[in-house]
Amino acid sequence: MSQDTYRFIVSPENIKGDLSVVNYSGTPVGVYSAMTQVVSSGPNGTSLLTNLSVPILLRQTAVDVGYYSPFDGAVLQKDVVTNFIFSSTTSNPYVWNVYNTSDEFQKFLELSVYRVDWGDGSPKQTITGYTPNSISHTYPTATKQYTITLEQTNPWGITKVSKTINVPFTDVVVYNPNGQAFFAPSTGNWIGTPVSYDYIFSGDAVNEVSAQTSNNYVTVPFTVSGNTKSRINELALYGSPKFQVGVPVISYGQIWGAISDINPVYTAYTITGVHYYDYNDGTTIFFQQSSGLTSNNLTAQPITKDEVLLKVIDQAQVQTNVFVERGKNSAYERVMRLGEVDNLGDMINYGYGFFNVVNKERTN
Amino acid sequence: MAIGSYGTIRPSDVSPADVDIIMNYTPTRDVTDQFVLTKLDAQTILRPYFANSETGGNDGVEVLGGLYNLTLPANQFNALGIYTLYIRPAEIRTVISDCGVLSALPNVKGIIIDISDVPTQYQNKFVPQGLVGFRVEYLNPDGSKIPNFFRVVTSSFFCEPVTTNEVNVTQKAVRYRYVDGDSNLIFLTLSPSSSPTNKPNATPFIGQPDQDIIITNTFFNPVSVEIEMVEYDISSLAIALYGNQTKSIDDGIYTIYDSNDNIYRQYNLYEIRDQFNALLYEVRQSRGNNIDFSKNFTNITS
Repeated sequence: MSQDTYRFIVSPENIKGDLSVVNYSGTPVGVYSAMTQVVSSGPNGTSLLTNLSVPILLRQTAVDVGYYSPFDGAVLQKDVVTNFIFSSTTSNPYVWNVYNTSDEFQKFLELSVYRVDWGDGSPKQTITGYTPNSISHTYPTATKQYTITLEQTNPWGITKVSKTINVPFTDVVVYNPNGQAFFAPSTGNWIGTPVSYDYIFSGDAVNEVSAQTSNNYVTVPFTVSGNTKSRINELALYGSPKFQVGVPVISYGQIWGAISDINPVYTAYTITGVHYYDYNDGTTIFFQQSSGLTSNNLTAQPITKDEVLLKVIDQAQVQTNVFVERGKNSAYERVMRLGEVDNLGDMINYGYGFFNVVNKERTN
Repeated sequence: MAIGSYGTIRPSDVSPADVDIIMNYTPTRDVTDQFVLTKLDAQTILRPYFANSETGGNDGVEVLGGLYNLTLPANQFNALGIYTLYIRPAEIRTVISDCGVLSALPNVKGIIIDISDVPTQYQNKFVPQGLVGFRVEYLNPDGSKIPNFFRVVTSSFFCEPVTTNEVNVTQKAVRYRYVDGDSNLIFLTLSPSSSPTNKPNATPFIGQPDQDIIITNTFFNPVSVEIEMVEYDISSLAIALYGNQTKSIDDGIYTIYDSNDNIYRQYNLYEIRDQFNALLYEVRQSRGNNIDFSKNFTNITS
C-alpha cells in the first residue's frame, strides 16, 4: 500500500454483522448472503448495510526554507510598535492621562501620526509626544466603562491598540505575590530565620535562552585526567644529576616544565601546565585543567527565521585549499618572494627573468 | 545566519470542513467511460478520532491527530464494483479583485480579494495571516485550469485602497495599505512574486484582475482510498472448503454453512439417468434464494 493510497476490500465475510436472520419455527436461522444480495436485499432493493466504516490516516508535509539567524532583529511585536499606557488618580478620578509608549526610535515609524480616541464620543485627539509626556482627558462624572484607542497612521497602514478603563478611577488593590514571612521575636529583635512563610518560589522556572549557558551547569575549568606515556625525559638536564626537583627546564626561552617531586612511589612533574605522575610500576597518569570550555563556549541560541533575508542573494564565492606559490625548485636556488624584491639585483635575479631589466646604456 | 530547510511530516488535524471528498465509481476494472463522479459531504462522513484516557491528551476534546474515521454511506456504496475516494483539501473558488502594490512598499506585489466574493463558509479564513501557506491556482477565461502552475500565499492582511500621485501629476494610481480591520479587502502576497536578479523585468505572474482562482488549504496531503465491493474473498473459499456441510438424503438438499453455522449455500443434488436407468449425470444445482431453512445446522444436529 502506498503512502497516499488506501485499499479496502469489502466482502460478506468482513460485514458478517449484517447477515440476514430468518425465523424458522421459532429458531433464528442465519443466512449467509453474497454481496449482491447484501447490497440489494433491503426494502425497495436498497442495501442491507447500514454504513461501512474504515479508518484512514491523513498527514501533512511541511517544509520551511529560509535564512535562519540566532537573532532576528527585524521583527517587532505589535505592542512595541504601537502601544500606550494610561493613568489616573483618586483625587481626580475622572481625569485620565495617556502616555504614548510606541517605539519612537524606529526609522520606519518616523512618519507616524498618533491619535487617541477616548471612547466617549469626543473628537479624536492627536498626540505628538512620547512617554513620559502625556495628554489628559476629563470624562463625564458617571460610573462607566470606556475604551481608549491609540491609532497609529503611517504609509505602512493603520494600527490600532485599544484598552478598557473604568471611570471613576479607584485604587487598585495590590496583590502581594511574594507572600508573607513570619519571624519570631527574640529579646527586642527578630530571629533572622523566618519561623514560617507561605510562599516558596522554586526558582527553576527560568526558561530564557540567555540563562542556558554552560556556567550554570559546569564549573570551569574542570579536571581532565587519564593514562599516558612518560615524558620525564623531556625534563632531563645536562650533566649529573640528570633529574632535579624544582629546577625548571627552559625551551625556546620559556619554561617548558619542572620536576616537583621524586620519591620511591612516583615522580611528579609538570610540562606546559600538564601534571604528570610516573609510578614505579611504569604507568603514567596526567592531570590537566580544562581550557577549551568556558561559559562563553556553550550558549544556547534560538533559531529564528529571518524573513527579510529571503530575497538576499549571496555573491558567488570560490573557496579552495590549493595555493600556488613561487618557491624553491632546487636546493641551490635562492628562495625569493615577490614582496622581497626591493633592489635592482633582486629584480634581475627574480624568477628566471620575470622582470625585463635592460641596461639602457649598453643598449644605446 | 545560514540558509536552512526544516521540514516534517506530521499527523494532520484538519477539520472535516476543510476537506473535499470526491467519489468515483466503476463497476469493473474494464476500460470504460461509465464511471460515476460525485461529491460526498466530508463533514458528514469524515470524523477525527479524539484522545481518551488511554491515549493521553484531553479526553474527548483534543484531536488525536492523523487518524480519521471514514463512513461509507450505504446508499452510495450499494453495488459491487470499485469505489475510489479522492480526499483532498477543500477548494475555495473566488475571483481576483485587483493586483496591486503597497503604497509604502511599491515592490511588494500582491492580489486583492474581495471577501464578499468568497463562499460564505470559507470567509472565516480570510483574516490577517489566515491564508498563509494556502495554494493559489488560476483559471483561463474559458474556464480551463492553467496546468502545472501555482503560487503560495506568504501573507494576508486587510487592506484599503489609497490614491497615490504619480510623477505625472495628472496620473493617479490606486495602491493599497494595510489596515487593522473593518475592511472587506484582503491583500495576499504570493511566492514567488519578485523578479529574478538576472532578469529584473521578468515579473512572475501572480494573476490578473477579474481572473478566477482556486485557493486551496495545505492542511494535509491528498489521499485516495479505494474500496472494492466484492462478491467473495479468500474467506469465502475457506468456508466452502472447511465449513460444516449437510446432505439431506431424503430430498437431496446439500447445504454448506459458514464458520458461524449460518446457511452459506444450498444445492439440489440429483442424478440424470436414461430410459435404461443408466446413470448419465450427477448434478449439483444451486438453489439460489430458495433456501430451505429447515436445513439449518442447529435443527439438524441437535
